[in-house]
Amino acid sequence: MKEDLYYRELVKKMTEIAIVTPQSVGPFTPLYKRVTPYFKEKPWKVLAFSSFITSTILYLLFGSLLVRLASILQFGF
Amino acid sequence: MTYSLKLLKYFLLFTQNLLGVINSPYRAFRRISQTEELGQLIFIFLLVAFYFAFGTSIRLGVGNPYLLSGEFNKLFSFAILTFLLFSTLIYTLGTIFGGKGRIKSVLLGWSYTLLPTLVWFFITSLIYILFPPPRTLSFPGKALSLVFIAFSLGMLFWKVVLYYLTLRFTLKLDLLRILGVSTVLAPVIAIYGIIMYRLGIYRIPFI
Repeated sequence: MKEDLYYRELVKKMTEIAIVTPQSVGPFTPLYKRVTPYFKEKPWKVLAFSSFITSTILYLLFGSLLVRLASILQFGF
Repeated sequence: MTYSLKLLKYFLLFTQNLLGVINSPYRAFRRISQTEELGQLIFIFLLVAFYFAFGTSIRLGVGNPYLLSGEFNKLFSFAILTFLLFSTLIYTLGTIFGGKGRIKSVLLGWSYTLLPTLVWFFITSLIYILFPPPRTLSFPGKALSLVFIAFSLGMLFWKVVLYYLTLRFTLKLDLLRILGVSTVLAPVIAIYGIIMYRLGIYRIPFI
């Protein structure tokens, strides 16, 4: 069986998965398990969405201060 | 293996990991944590060098090559020093918090977290040319500010995800311990940023 290609691939995959122990965050574990898949594959989708929502909320909260912050950051490179 | 073949191997690894960090960072960092091919760092630091050459020429213009090369050397040297300092700090703090890993893995993992930093600095330099600051309170000014802040937040969130994965895979830490390391690291980053600003090296620290 150890000569079987599928078996060797399976062992390789299982070893790879077992690098870290599963994450547990107490009562928040189900929430953690629901949220993390969005960051594992193509995270830019959720990152783009959340950053636009956050910046809109910040603009509604702070108004022109955000424009000043943008100017300061633009000089920051 | 000849030198050029090794370089090609590192380049292929770098490209594979670069695409992985963008599309599936979880899988990419799991892979990165298992390799010890530090040669990949060459390509990351080539990108860093390219950025500093580009950024410095925008800031100072290309009229004074002596001033330009002096500024470039200063910024690039401090970028490498910062990278080594924070890699060592993360490794030390991670070990104190019960993490198990090798410094080589931390160096590799942390080097890939420089990608959001690089993208932010590159795009900010380009926007500096295309839409020179300061932003005004007109509609286009507000709209551009909103888009720029959203882009900056996106890069920050991406950086945080990659930082988390570095600690998770290279030092095998869980979320609670990662939060512990971050609590110690955050003020250090703030103080380091202030020192760099006061010394006139970086306005925003290249971390």
